[in-house]
Amino acid sequence: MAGTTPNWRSTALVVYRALLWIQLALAGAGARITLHTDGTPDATANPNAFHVGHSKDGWKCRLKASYIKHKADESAAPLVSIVDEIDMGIAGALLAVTDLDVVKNLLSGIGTYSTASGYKQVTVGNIAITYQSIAAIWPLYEASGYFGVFNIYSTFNQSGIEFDVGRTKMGEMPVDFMGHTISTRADADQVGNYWKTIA
Amino acid sequence: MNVQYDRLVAERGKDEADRICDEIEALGGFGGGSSRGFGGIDLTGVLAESNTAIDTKDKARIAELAGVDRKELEKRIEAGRKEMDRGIQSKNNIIPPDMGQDQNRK
Repeated sequence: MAGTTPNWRSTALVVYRALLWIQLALAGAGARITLHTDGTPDATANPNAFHVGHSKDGWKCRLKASYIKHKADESAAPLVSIVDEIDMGIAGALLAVTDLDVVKNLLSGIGTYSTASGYKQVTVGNIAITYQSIAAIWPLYEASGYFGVFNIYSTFNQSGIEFDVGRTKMGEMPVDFMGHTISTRADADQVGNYWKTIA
Repeated sequence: MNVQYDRLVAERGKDEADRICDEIEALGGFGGGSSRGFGGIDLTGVLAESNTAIDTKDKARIAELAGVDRKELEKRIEAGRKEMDRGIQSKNNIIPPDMGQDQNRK
């Protein structure tokens, strides 16, 4: 009997920068967000797509679940597990600290943006939380002209804003967009998707 | 190929916008209220011929409600797919300049 050839999958690497886009259109059943050929969101399908600018160290894409383990006294291992909580998010640190068009998207539930001649501002209070679809998109190392996408359907930044102001350290704003369920979608497709384009 | 509630309200009034958005959201599996969000809803993937999650009758109704020409949409999708297969370089500087130089890649 023959052995099995190992597959090192050495091209399935993430080594290129990702761009974080917010205010994306939501894709429907069986679909994904529409990309232009250069990996940016298609402008017709996503007319409000907004690039948040530079990040300090790139983006951390997170998709985890916690489980409730049901046990019996007679067994050391659990009998069955069920999903307790799904944690899907994108986190990083934004550098565009003084761009209030970026900041206004980071203060859902607490910030209200306004502008007039001479100023832009965000006032702070307790208002309704608003959700939006976001995605980190990066070029694939394994195939030129193809892209990886980590898309969360309904999310807001749960970290608020917090930044240093000073001469020796550049200000940055840690952000963490936390995914929420759209319960009226199909069960298997309520929070987001992680996908890549292929031929 | 984007439907957004606020824009529809401005164009057709609240009652009509509610009717259209509710029906598109339900037929397209977007989730209730999703066209009311910042980015609206993207019809491109839902109406594509290749999408088997939505049946033809529902696609036709969505296109009718949104005023989308499905034949034109398919042409755009196919044109985009061909460009992607050719590996078109980005004008937006999305694709790093060092891509394609690694000898170990297929």
